[in-house]
Amino acid sequence: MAQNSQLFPSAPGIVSRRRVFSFRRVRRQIRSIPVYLVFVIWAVAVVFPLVWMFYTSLKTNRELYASVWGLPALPQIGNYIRAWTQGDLGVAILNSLFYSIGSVGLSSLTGAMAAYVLSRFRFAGRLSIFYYFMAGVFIPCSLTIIPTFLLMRDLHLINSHFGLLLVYTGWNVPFAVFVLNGYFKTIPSELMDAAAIDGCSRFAVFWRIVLPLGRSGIVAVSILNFLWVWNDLLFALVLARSDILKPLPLAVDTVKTTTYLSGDWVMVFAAASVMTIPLLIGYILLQRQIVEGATIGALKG
Amino acid sequence: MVDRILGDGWKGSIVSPLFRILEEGGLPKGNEPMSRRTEDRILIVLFLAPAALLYTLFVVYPGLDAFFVSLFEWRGMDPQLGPFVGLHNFIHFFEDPNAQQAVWHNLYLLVVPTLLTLVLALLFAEMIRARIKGGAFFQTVFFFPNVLSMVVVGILWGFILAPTFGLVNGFLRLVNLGQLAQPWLGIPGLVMPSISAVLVWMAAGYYMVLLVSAMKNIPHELYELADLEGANGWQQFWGITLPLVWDVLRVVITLLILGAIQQFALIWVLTEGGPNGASEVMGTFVYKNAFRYQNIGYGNAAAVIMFLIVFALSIFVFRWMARETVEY
Repeated sequence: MAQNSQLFPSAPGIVSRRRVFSFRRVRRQIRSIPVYLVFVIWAVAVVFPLVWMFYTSLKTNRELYASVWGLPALPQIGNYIRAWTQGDLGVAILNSLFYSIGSVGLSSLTGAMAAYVLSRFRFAGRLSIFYYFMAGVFIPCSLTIIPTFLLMRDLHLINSHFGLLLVYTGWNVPFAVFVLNGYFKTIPSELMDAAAIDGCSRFAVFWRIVLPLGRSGIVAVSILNFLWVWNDLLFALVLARSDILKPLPLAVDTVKTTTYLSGDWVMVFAAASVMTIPLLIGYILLQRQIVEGATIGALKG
Repeated sequence: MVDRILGDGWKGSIVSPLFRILEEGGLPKGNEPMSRRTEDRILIVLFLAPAALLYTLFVVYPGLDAFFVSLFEWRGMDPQLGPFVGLHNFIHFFEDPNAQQAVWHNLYLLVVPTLLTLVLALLFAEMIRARIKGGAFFQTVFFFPNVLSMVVVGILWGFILAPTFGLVNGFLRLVNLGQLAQPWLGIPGLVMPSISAVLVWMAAGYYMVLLVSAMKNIPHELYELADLEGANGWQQFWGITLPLVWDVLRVVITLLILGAIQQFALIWVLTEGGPNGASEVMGTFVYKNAFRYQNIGYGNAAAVIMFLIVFALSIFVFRWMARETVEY
């Protein structure tokens, strides 16, 4: 009972009402059995394919064809070594880190600056500028892939890491502005006024007050944009035209498409696992921020 | 100098202090301090400029250029623009059976997986709201597929649905239903339902989390009261939960619809639009025309049509669902 009231904190009167109608709670618990059943089935449907992918990545191809379900007799680390060398996954991971961290850093900083101005100053054209940024959230990436390719060619950025970095940054910016604008509005303006009276310049107010107080919003935006860049395939396909530019999703996809001839499927399982393991670790460490960030990102707008 | 280029219209605008600095060759001297207003204007311009520049150059400009390029016949990666053909690419699009098929498949994605995801997400969220122990744990697990790359999901489900060593067929053989085993991604009639299943698998947890966080804002006393009045779970869901999460539901449906039209990576990895165009969507259609068939003008026209559909749909959905917000 004590445990229960801790789990469901509510007004004291309600707790006592619960106690009076305790048969209702028992009935509720019985009724919740089918709910658990549904949840457990879905949880298995989510988790088992991933577990299956991991242990299959350690089987031999012969074991895979002999039995879909069987565990590996001996973990085949060789699958990972083949995937790593064939897909050049080390380079791909570094590329992905460069694109993700670089574009998120750039877009979160510039987006926060713009959002600060849009949320805190009154000036002509403020609303139109806000809507201009907001439009970016609704533009489908497919609309721009061809002109982006042509633009990058004209800017001589087609064979450079900076091409993809800048394109990702450009796409991250509107989302960052959009969400942070809503977020910064929740910072009490008294704090900024007080700082201004103390002689802080507007720049100092941004650095010392807006950025620290808006940190959780910035973290949320950064995580979501990071995931988008880390996982993107479309722009990578269009712009990473040589092997040294390939980010991880494209490298793994290339491993998959080139395997149709050799039939070395366990190696593809290994490549997909290489992509999933860092995400899984990151998700376990940052799950609260990621889930909260996704909620803020979708609902703040 | 700046005046000559831009005319007098810019004099009173927010950018004028910046131009004044350009003209006078530097910031004002220390002995003539800037007014607070001028300082604000400089800050506004300096802080807006980097974001606006990056976004304009790499998103808006290519977006507008797409409209322009779609009016030309342009084949191959020829640096020169081909001849101007007006709306010919658009007319061609509406006569092209492959294009129609792609639009049709987008509509399919708009309805089938979207509805399934919505129903499942609402059901799960309502179950968690009804105070199930371990709700946070289930939320964390269900959300995870959404973090995965479409490439990983595509590869993983490509294996799960594979004809010989796929999990689904393996399961069917295990329970002696081997005759139901199918090449799920290899038969035109089965490929879209299979892709829909993957999409639901991925998205249900995400939208469930959004809805749960919306339901947290509903005061619990409402349900207590409904309980006392004898309303069953179904009535509580229709009478309390649904009207009070309507705003969030609107966002959820908009996101689902935008996602359904823009689908690319998952289908590209799973089937590349095959077999024989049976899972072609507009995203893969645009990409193939531009970078495989080297038909740049036509691919762009398809992309423009895709944008117009997204645009019209998002306005339509927002208007259609814009009821009065329910207050409590």
